[in-house]
Amino acid sequence: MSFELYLAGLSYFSNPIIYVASFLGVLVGIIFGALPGLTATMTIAVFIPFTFGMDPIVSFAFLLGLYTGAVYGGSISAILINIPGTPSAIATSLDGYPMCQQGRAGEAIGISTVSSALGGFFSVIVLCLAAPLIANLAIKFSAEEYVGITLIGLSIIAMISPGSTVKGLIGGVLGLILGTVGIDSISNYPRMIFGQAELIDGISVIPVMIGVYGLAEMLTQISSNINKKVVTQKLTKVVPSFKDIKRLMPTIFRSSIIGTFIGSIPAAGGSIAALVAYGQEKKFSKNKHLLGTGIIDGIAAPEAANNASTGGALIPMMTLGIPGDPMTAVLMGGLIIQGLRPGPILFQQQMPFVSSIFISLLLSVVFMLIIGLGGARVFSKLITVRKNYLIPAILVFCLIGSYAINNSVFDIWTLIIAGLVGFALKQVKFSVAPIILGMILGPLFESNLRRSIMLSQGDWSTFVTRPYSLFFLVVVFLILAGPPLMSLAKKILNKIKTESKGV
Amino acid sequence: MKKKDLVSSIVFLVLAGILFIYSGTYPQKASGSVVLNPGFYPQMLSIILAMLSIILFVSSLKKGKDHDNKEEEDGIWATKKSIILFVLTLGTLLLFPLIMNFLGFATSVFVFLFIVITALTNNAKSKILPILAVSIGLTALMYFVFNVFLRIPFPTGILI
Repeated sequence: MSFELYLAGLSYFSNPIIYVASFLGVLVGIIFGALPGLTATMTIAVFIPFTFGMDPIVSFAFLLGLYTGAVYGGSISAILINIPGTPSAIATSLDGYPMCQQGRAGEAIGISTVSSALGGFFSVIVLCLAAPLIANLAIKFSAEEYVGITLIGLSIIAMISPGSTVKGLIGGVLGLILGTVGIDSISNYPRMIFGQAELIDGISVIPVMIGVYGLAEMLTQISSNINKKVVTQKLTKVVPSFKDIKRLMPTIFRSSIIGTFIGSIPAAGGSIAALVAYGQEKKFSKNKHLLGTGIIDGIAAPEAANNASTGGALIPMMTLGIPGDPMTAVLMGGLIIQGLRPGPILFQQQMPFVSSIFISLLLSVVFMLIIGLGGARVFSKLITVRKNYLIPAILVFCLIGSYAINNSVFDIWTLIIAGLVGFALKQVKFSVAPIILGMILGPLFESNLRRSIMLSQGDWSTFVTRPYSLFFLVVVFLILAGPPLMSLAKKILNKIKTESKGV
Repeated sequence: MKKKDLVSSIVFLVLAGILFIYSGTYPQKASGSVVLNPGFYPQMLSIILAMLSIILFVSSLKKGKDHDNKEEEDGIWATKKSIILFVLTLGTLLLFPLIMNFLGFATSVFVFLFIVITALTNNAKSKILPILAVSIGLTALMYFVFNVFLRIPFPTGILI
């Protein structure tokens, strides 16, 4: 793939609307990310209805701005009030909050901003280089391989979801089942529509996503205590010194590589990337004994990593159609309603659009740096917004957003049902991410599965006789059976050791 | 934990059974591969769901024995008041699509916001003015963004 193809998307950027969209996206993303209880996934989900009527390129400039902004914004509340605004900022509070207690919150936010921007920048570069290569490889895949890749995505998300792997798998299967609602593409028979004309095209994914990520979260907050007082401090010294940044460069670079790599593994996301990067810092940093007491190294590492994971997570989503984390799953939902299905074909047919996505992501990193350093004082005040106003506002947003996608009251009912089911699943410690992933990947998975078997005339061995397909199935096996087998092996080894000691 | 897992595994097992029987009622082609039948894939999924539910059931039984009563069941509700708040919010949510066609978009948004904010605010009587102001302000914002800026046709009803 030549460099010229990247320039193909550049022509769109003479349109000033794109800059406005990206700027607003980052701004709104930071605000929502910084507010505790509003995750990055939820932010993207509730804003997709906004972008539905827009040009796909403008809409993605906005959504990618939200994505970048929200992942970064989570660090602000992690530092100031020790509550990560989004899950990917969990590791940031480890050193961020101690710094805040020492009165150095401004410095911490400044370092977080610069590290996030550098991490994000690094991952965009990797995305630009790696995505076309992977897309080129993936273009050779046929139905059997897509079955394997989908299974990899579902099994990884099942494994890393909170709760047990079995629960995650159940969620994935539930999602696949929800994906079967509507007209069957092969026999044209309407399945599970229960006489509802609105269900013929299947359950709308966006209201379900808004329901399980937005509505369910708000209901959970209502059911727990909402009247906590939040106090923040004045920020000073937000713009970090060049000396500090220079000293942190190795940390940022190391963490960016970790973040991009972990982000690009389907279904592993920013929160894992950040925790691993922080863990690496504990092993390799010169200041490792000071980590946790409030040093800037402990902020730079997770923040560079979680923003680096954004570009990484887009790699499998864009090239294979397998989202790298819940946030990219929701983003993919946004692409699909625009009629753009991510995958290698998108690279062949819509390269200008693909390159515009890369450029938009880069643009959002630049805006993040500017808005983050310039607006830190304002954002720190916003965190104190009272929940009794915030929750109703978000709820109304969910209601209107669901309606606005298809101008359909039916979608409001879908939202409420999804919200209640999501709330119930939270109570029994089921994670909703596998369900959403299953729902998004379901229809394609089914048609690929059935097409493979039709082409092989009923012979299931077609999945193991093709080399790539076999490889993917082996990966699925290792993901699911690996951890239990390892612990079994350890047990046996221990037994042998103790027995040999006994003799 | 174990109780919740037991209950949810049984629920999913029942769900799998219903799905299996229901997909069995789909039309079947006399000739050709079974894959062509619309019920093939849902039945396959229901079998997988059933197997996973059984695994969850068995493992939660085991866990129960290992830990006995170590893991306490966490309550869903923080206080009695939060149950009332939850039910009230849910009721207002369900009310929204019903009244939107009748009262119109903007009015319904205002009613929704006013009820839920009042419910969630401590000592709401003394703060009635700020609550009214926030409800009206947010309604105006939503109306401007969705109706004027994004031009989404909302039902107007008897009011706006």
